[in-house]
Amino acid sequence: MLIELSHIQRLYRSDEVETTALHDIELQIEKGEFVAIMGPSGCGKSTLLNILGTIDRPTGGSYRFGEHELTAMNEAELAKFRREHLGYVFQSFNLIDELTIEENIELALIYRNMPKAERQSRVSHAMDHVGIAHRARHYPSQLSGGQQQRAAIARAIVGEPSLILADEPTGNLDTENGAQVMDILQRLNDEGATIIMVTHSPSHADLARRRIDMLDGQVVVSVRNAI
Amino acid sequence: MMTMVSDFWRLAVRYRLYTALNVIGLGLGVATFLTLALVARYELGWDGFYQQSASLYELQADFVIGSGTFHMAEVHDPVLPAVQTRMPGLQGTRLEHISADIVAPSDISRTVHYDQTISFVDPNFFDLFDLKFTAGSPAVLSSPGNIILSATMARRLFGEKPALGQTLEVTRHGKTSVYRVAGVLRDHPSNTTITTDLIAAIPKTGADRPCDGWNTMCAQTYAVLPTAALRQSFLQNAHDVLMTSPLSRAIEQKDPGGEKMTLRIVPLPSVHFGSDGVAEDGASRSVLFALIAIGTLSLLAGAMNYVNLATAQSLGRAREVAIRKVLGASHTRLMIRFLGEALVLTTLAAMLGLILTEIAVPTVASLSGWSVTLDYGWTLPLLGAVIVVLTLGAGFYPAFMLSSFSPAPVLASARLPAQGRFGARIRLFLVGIQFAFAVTLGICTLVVNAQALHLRHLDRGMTIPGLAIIATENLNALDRQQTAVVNLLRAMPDVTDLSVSAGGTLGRYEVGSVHRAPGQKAFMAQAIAHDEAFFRTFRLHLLAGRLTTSERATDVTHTKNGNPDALAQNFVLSREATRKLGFSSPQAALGQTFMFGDNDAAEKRTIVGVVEDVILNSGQDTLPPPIYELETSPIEQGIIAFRTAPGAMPHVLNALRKAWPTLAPGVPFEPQTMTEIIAESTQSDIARGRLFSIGAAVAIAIACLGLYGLAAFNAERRMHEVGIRKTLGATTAQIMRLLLGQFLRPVLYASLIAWPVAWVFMRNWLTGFDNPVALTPLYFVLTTLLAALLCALTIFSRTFGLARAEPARALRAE
Repeated sequence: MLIELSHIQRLYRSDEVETTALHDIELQIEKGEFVAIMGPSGCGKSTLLNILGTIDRPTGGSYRFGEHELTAMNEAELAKFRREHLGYVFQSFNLIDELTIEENIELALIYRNMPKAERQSRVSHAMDHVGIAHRARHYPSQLSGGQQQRAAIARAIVGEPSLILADEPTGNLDTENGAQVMDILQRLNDEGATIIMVTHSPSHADLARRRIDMLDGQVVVSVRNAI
Repeated sequence: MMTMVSDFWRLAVRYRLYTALNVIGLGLGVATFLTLALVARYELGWDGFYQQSASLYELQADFVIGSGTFHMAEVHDPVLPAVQTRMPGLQGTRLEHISADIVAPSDISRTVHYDQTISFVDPNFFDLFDLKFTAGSPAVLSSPGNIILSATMARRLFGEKPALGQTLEVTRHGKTSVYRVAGVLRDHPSNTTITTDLIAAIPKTGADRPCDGWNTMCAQTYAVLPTAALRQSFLQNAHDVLMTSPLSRAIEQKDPGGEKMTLRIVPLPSVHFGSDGVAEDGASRSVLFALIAIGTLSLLAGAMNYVNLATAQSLGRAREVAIRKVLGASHTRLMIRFLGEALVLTTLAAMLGLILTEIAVPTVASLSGWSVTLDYGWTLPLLGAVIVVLTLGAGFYPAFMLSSFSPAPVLASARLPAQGRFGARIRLFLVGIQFAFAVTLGICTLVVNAQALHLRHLDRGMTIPGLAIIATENLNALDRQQTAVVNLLRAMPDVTDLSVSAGGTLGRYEVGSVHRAPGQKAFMAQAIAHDEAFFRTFRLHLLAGRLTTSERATDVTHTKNGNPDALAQNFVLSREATRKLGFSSPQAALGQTFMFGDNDAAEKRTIVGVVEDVILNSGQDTLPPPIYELETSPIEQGIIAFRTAPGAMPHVLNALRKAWPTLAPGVPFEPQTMTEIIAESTQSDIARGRLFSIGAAVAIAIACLGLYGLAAFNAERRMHEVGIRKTLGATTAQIMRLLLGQFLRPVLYASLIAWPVAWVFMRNWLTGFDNPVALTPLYFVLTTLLAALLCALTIFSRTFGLARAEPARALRAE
């Protein structure tokens, strides 16, 4: 088992209100799975993805990733875990405006203290993989949405992570670019990558191997797609 | 206007931090500028308030003696009348000072006011120097026996009683004259070289004249010379007058190695700075220009902060601009609006600046000794000009940038406009310039303070603690009173050593020409007559040979009735005197001879000992090096120096104070410890150090305020980016390094500009000292490290929270 969530809870507290974003989530994901999470806005999809990606912490429960119990880790350990095991793709791409595409992709490796030569070879391979090598020296603002998202995917896979997390990766793209991004994700999954994707698109969710539906902070349905 | 203020207020409330940083930074800049502008106005405005200032010139003389030049602000008394004979219609006047004791007969206690300076002037004096009268008129000068007082002097002598018509008894050299007060002057500003509390007309008869014709140089001589031709003619005529005078031999320099006199004229406003550019109050043109530069750069630094913070802040207002444009606001209208906001902010900062100036001016005045006051009549128009210049200069770029946002992309984007790398670079560049200024000033401050400290702990060539002196030139019955004081001190068991000497720099000295051998280059030396206890009392450090002693007849000068009877053949010289004579070391000078006296009458002397140079001043005035001449006869009007047992000085001085009224009735009790004398001599250097420290602190404060604002802006803008980086696995430390590096780099680059600039400034400044501190890299490295540390702390305080933020929260930013 790659991921095992047990009784995961996420509460948001302000002075007056307490909101439960996630309630008693139980979830297991195998290595090599492609899971799509669906549900209406505010149901807790992105919160769940953030917790899976360790960029948010649960207020209760346990999160095991392979041999690691992530809820017990401190901030520095989590940062190390992220750079070694995880890759992210966001709806709004989240590329750094001031860096070129090449530099954006390289960033994930710089934090691993990888030697320059190896970084360059990996970056170039990742760019080839998603077809944006010709845009290496461009800045994000000079690229179309589809190209930016492909760059973001290249950044997510360049570190060869155990898990790729994609938060509505096609949400800001037109149909054609959305389809291209889904193609890439499927190809990565075929090559062995474990992928968890939040999406609003039923057709894109159908391309995953498993679909999880959420409502009001809980997992209501978990079904395997017939692929 | 009201709309402008209310708009500004809304903005100030919304952007409290930026507004506060802007107002404080700009206020500090304005305060520094105003304060230093007031100082500059005071120092550069010396003698500027006389109506004829622009065309008034003082005739001065330079004496070249061997390799040294000595400047005299006075010339011989007959020069002006003789020149006026050659140049009919030339307006000129003389000012001749004497020192006398004054008693007002109306004072029942008959208090003697010792050592008062009386200025004798030509009757037309007030035509050139239009001092204002509160009683009497300039015409009273035409009657002999009349005297004019300053308001302060009138109050001192007569209290609240009317001074006009009162009489004064003036005693000089034992002869008393009576004067009638015929005029009172309004007190004039303190920044004038014409210091006149008691003014009388130069007596026509020879006996009472303060100056002795061609024998003394004691007449400050002024002439109205509005044109270059007139100035040239005046100088030529003055020279011709001297050529026909008994001094012609000196002017032509007929004696090789003798003295040569040349004349020059100095514009009245420049007289204050003296021939070496350093005024008596320690101000020099270079220090003044440095202060003016600091003031202007501080204002610029404040303005840069404004540009930086305003452009940074404007990005947050892009949406507001876009909506206003959609609703029909034109570019020009928006420009006017934003310039209006700049005007309100600048005015607010200027008001804060004025308040700070009100606090700073008395502090600066007390630190520097300059009588600077906050003159609102002059300051407010200047402040108005500063507001206009700042509003247009600093307000224009942010207003232009802000009003130039294109509405469509701004409204379409969820995020703020990036304003590109160019804007960010401009901001970092301005921060760099601010730090270059701050680091330069920081280095100068360290060096100036190090020099002051160095002077304070300098080896003065003698042992300072436990030594005190009493000048005896004020003692009336010279021999009797001096002997009485000496006897009393000798009788005290705590006084271990006592000496009477001419005192050199401390008292008086004869200036004599010295050269190695006939025909060789001469220089001026102080010939200091001293008794046998002199070296022991001062504990002058003996470097080579021996000290002179009364046991050897050739060591001693004998005088009979005040005239030398037998002259000492052996002298002790200071290290500097042997160096000037060309000896490579003190040892090399031993047993060697030198010539003492003017060429015609120079006599051979032998060097038997060399002592360390005595340093009593701050080392900026070059004094003739001393040579020491032992005398066994009493030295009149010398100084009494005495050394006490450790810790006994207060007790000795107390006992002396008690006995003083009997020993020297009516003479002020003014002993000085050597520690006090040294402290006084370094006072202006320490004060300058403090002024620079304040300037540097303000500059660094302004730079840090700007940096803090930018760091805050940066923290807001980069929140999202930090979220991305942390998601990719960056640790808090890595994020901090990134954020610190972004700002530390310009600070380090700033040092590359600051180092050579500060080096050039300080190298030039230190060459003015005989004992300069070494200009080591320590000051440069230390200042940069300090600036970097301050910078890091500033950024850290603003960005640590950002670096620690949960990635998910950071990603939600914007």
